[in-house]
Amino acid sequence: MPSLPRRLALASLAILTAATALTGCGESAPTGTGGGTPRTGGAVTYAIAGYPVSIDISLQGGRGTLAGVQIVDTLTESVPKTNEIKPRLAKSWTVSPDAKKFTFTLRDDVTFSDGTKFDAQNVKDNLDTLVQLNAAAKTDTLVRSALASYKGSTVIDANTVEVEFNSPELGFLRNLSDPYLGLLSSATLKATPEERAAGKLVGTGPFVLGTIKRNESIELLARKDYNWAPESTSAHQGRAYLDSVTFKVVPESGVRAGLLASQQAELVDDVAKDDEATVTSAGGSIAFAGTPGLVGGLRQNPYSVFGGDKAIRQAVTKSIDRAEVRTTLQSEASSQPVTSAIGATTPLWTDLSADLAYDPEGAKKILEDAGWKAGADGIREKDGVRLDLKLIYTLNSLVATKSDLELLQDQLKRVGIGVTLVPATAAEFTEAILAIKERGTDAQYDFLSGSGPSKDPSFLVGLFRNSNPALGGAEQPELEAAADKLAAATTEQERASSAADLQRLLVSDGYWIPIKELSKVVGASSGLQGFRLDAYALPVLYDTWLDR
Amino acid sequence: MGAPARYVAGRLAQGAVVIWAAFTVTFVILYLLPSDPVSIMLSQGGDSTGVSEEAESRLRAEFGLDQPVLVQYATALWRALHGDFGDSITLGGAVIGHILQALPQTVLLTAVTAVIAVAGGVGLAVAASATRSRTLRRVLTNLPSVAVSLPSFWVGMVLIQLFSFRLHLFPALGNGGFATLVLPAVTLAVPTGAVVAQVLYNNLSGALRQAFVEVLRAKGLSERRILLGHALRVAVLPALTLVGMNIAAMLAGAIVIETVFGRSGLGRLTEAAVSEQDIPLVQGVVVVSAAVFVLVNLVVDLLYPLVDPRISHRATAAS
Repeated sequence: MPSLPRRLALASLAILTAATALTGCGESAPTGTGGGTPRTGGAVTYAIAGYPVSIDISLQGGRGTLAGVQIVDTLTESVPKTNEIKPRLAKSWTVSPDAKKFTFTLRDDVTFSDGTKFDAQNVKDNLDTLVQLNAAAKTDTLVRSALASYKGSTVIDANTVEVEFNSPELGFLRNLSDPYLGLLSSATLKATPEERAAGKLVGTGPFVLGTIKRNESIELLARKDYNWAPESTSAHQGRAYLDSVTFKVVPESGVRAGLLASQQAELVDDVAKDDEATVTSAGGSIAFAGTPGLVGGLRQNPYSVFGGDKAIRQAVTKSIDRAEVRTTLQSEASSQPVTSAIGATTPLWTDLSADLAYDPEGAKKILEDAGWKAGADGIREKDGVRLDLKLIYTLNSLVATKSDLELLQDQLKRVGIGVTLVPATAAEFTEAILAIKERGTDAQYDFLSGSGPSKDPSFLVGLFRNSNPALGGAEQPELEAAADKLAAATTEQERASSAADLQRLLVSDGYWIPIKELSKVVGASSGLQGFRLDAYALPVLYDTWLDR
Repeated sequence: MGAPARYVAGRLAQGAVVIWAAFTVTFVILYLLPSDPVSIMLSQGGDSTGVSEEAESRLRAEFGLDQPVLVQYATALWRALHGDFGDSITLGGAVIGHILQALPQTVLLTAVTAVIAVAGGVGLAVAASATRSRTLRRVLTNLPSVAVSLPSFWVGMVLIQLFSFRLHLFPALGNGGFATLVLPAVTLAVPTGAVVAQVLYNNLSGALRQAFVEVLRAKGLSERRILLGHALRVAVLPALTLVGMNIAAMLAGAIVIETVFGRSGLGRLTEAAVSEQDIPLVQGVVVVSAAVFVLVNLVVDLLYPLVDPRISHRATAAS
């Protein structure tokens, strides 16, 4: 998207829209008052920010596709907040002591929407196909990471399947609850990745895909014979209440909110802070959930002089006033304070709030001790070198917007650290990352702004081993060892302690400098009931109904 | 071959050179970028894990990116001549398919925009020339410079707020029928309409001072007939040329307008292609846009003799 004079537009909207105080916000709580008996029927329009590159969530460019999530069921179910793993299409399972072999007993009453039966062979075919697609680099990073050490599956009988890995995979049961490992029919598995991305998908989920207009809209229709909703998280059984849901692409946040206020949409995705008032003043409510994974933050360029310097990273960590970031730029009603390198909803999260406290004096001391003395214009210097950090960020990123980074720039200046913002398109951003090793100390950037998809702590391994392009093979033995230790964990206890150790190291040595916790924020109209976000902050439309 | 036909053939040949140049410049620029689209695709935001180099080079071969640059250029050019721009790297499927799907929406938008811009611009200029009130004339003649400096993004948002969210007269977005075209076309027409009005008003003022107008007045024609029947005809040519030239601006403006109004079209496709560095798609879009631009300007030139009989392409072709 081109850089647009957004502030100006918002200012004009603020004049035209009467703003009232926010009401009815709540994390993960279903929308609506809960009064009344759920009604079957009705069509809902859901305004989304962009058309997905792939409707199939397991493929490149399909991450978080809202329509793709609703048409599949997963083998396990993750309960929001507690992060417990409960049965879904798998009734029960056993795990071998070395955590390499998983045996699942499947439900035998489940069918795909094309009428074919769901069974053990289907589970094996799904995993085998994903591994093939992994090898062809057609899948999402998360799928590649989840099945990196997949050895194979064996069909024991029609309802029993055994899945084997080459190394311990304690995160596998949780990965199975994520829609990117949702089950697809044999017909779908024979389709090409391009066909799947375009929506040639048959699942067992409560909805099926209806009319798809590329770049415009995706329609979902309720599956009338659906009767296997996960008991642990669902409010009812049987078919979904709504007859249909149409996802419409509306790139501008202000327009999305206006659609809800003018009753042209019942649900609007990714509501910006300034647009929450438009939703609530029209009687709507805001649903939000913290996104599991690496929080929005800064990552070092290990090859750059500043990014590779632990003292500077620690000083930056202490110079950020995270409470100010939240009160200034995030909506307090739909966000939570940042407490670690990973979001508080991520399994095995460790509370490191104390290490993330605003401590400008501490930061100054670190810099003084390292020889960085105050320069003429307030920016510190050492041996004629100005402490001016180049910070690269992508335009239109929800992770850290330009205004977030400008506030950060201001905060760091208070302790004498200069920041030069380097805007980049997604492609330029990736190019800069891929070039870090080659450029060495002649760095294009010292820090990058980003987040990371670590729904299970196992993903932290891939994100912080130096095989990750963002680290470009840099030798940082302490970090590498901490990541390896998490990878090698064979018991839940070992895993918990090594995940905590890794988080602690990331924060204390500034390998990841947290700025803010990310959340998914959805606006719902007043008549919409029972809408909620799952453990991965993805919308669940199965229990949603319209009371008019 | 008759002279007009020869003229058209000559212009078409020129057009072909323009399109070839657009293709080549785009190719060179994209090739000079330090990274290639496959590595970008595989490591969005640098979180790529677990892709083997073998898989990466296989993908590269799939898109022909492993060939020497001249071979890539020659292949791409030869294919483009046959209307084949290869497959989109980010979206999959043939580039030409994506473009042909998006093009009609944008052409429609641009056409309606051009009509609104001309009608509005001519209306404004004529009204400003015809009015006897000095205050009104001052307001009308200053309107274009205000209109041209309004960001179209902002105009679009205000129109949506007013006509869709408040008055419920037009849908705020989508590609469904004529009603959805009105607001985006009006938004996109504002800058072009303003320029047309400005130029046309100045030309009209000039034309009304010319000798033939005095003759017409002496003959007893009403001011209205002089203005609409004679002066306008003389004054409208440069404005017409402006509309032709502004087609390119409208295609560029579609990037913003289609985003604000949630329309699918060439603008949105361009935006996606550029930000993801989808080389085949960018090239396809550039070539098709250049072709549209060349064609529209040819049509405008061919319209000149119809508007002003003094102009003939015979003379141009002979030179």
